[in-house]
Amino acid sequence: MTSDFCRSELVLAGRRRRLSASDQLALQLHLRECESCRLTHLFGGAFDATSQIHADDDRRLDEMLAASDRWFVQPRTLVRGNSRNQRLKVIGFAAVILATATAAAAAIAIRASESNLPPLAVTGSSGATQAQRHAAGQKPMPLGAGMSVTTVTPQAQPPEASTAAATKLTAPHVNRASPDANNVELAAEQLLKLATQARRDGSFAEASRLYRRLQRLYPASRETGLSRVTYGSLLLEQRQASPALYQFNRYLSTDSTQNLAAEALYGKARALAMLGRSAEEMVTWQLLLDKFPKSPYISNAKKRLASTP
Amino acid sequence: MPAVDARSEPTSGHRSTARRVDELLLVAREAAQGSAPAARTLVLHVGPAMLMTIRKILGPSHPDVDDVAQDAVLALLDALSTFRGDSSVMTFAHRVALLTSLAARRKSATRQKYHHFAALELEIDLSYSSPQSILLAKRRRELLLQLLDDLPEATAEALALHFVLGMTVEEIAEVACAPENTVWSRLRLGKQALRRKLSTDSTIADFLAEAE
Repeated sequence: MTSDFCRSELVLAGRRRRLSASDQLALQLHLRECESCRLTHLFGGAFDATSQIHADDDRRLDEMLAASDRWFVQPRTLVRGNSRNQRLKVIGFAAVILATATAAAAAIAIRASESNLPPLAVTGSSGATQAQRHAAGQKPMPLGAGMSVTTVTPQAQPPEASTAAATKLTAPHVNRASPDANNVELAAEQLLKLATQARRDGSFAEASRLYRRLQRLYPASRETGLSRVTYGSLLLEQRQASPALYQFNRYLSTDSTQNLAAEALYGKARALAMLGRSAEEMVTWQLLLDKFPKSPYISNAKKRLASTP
Repeated sequence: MPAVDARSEPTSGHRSTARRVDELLLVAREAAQGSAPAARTLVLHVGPAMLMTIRKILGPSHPDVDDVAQDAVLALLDALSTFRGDSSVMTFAHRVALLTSLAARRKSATRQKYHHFAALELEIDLSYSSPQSILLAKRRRELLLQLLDDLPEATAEALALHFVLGMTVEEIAEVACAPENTVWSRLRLGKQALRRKLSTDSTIADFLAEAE
C-alpha cells in the first residue's frame, strides 16, 4: 500500500475495483484536491477498459506455447540491458580478456628486452599496448594459447622504421567482441548453407537447430530473412503448422526485400489451411492472387478459393 | 477500506489467490531448471495476462501482437534463471510483456505504423457512459503511449507499470529491483513530462477533464 504524501492507494484500489461505497466517496473527494492522483486516475483508467479477452487469444496462446517449445529445443541466451548480474558478468569477462592481453603483451616486452630483438607492435582490444625490441631477425615470438601473429615485412615500413620489424599480435577472442560486418555476414551465410544442406540430407532436427541458431545469432541479417521462408516450409512438411505460420508471418512483416513474399504467402495460406483457419486462409490466397498474379502458386490459390463457398 | 494485498496482481483483471501465485513460483522454478512441461504450464497460466498487457501497449488489433507475444514468451523464459522471486511470477510476466511491447513500439521504423493502428483502435467498454468517454479514453491512451516512446527507458517503465498495469510503488520497486525512492522519483519525472505534454497542446486540454 502506498501511504506517502497522498492517498494514491485509493486510486489503485479503485482501479482494482476493491473500494467500498465510503471509499469511493473518499476517492472522489481526494481526486478533486490531488492533481497527481487525478492524472493517474484519468490516464490509468483509460487502460483498464482494455478487454480481458480477445477473439484471437486461443490461437495466440497456442503460438506462445509453440514458442516455448522452440525455446527448449534451442534456448536463447539474451544479455538483457536491465539485468545487473548479466551486466556484471559481461564487464568481468571483458576485464579478464583485457588483463590476459595486457599480461601477454608485458611478457612479450620483457622477453624482447632480454633477447635484444627488433621492435614489436602489439595490439590488443585496447589497441594501445606496444612492445619494443631491437632489430635482430624476424623469427616469430613464442605465443600463448589463443594468440596469433602477423609479421609485417620491413619493406612495408616507413624508412625510419626499416630496421625494425613490426609484428601485430591479436587475440582472436578479443576481436570477436567487435566483429566487422563481413565476418557477421560470412558466419550467417555459413549457417544458412549448413542448414540448407541438412535439409537436403533429410535431417530435420539438425536443419531446425541450424535455422534457429541463425535466426537467434543474426536476427537482422539477409540470411535470416531467407531462412524464414525455407524453415517455414520445412516445418510445414513436418505438419508443424503453428510455428511455420510464425516463420512466414515474420518474413512478411520484417524482411525489407520481400523477394520471397509470394512463397511466404503460399506457405502462410497452407499453414492456415492446416490449422483450419479457413477465413484467414482465403484472405491470404486472395492477397497472393492480387499481388503476384504471375506466380506459380496461382493455380493452387484459385482452386482453394473456388472450393470454398 | 478493504485490505488490498500489495502482493496480489496489478489490476483487477489479474487477480488470483496467493495459492495460485505459490503454484506459479514452483512451476517457474522447474521451468528455469529446464522442464519443458513446466514451461508450457507456466505459459498457459501467464500467457493470457501477458497478451492483455501487450494489447494495452500495441492496441488490440495490431498485426504485430502475435510476434510480440511470442517474443515476450522467449524473453520470459530467458529471464526465469535470474528471477529471484521478489515479486509474484504473474507480476514478473506482466513486466516482461510490458518491456517487450515498449521495445517494439520504440523501434523507430515501425512507430508510425503503431500510431496508425492506434488511431484505428476501438475499445468499447460498457463501464463508459458515453461515446465521448470512449473517445477521451482512447486519446488518453494514445497520448500516454506516445510519451512512453520519448521518455528514458527507466522512467517509461515505471510510468507504464503504474499507469498501464496499475502497480503500486512497492510492486514496481520489487519487480524492477529498484529502491522505492527511486521509483517515486521516476514517477514524479514521468508525470512532469505528461503535464508538459498536456500544457503544450491546447487541443488536448480536455484530457484532463472528467468526462463521466
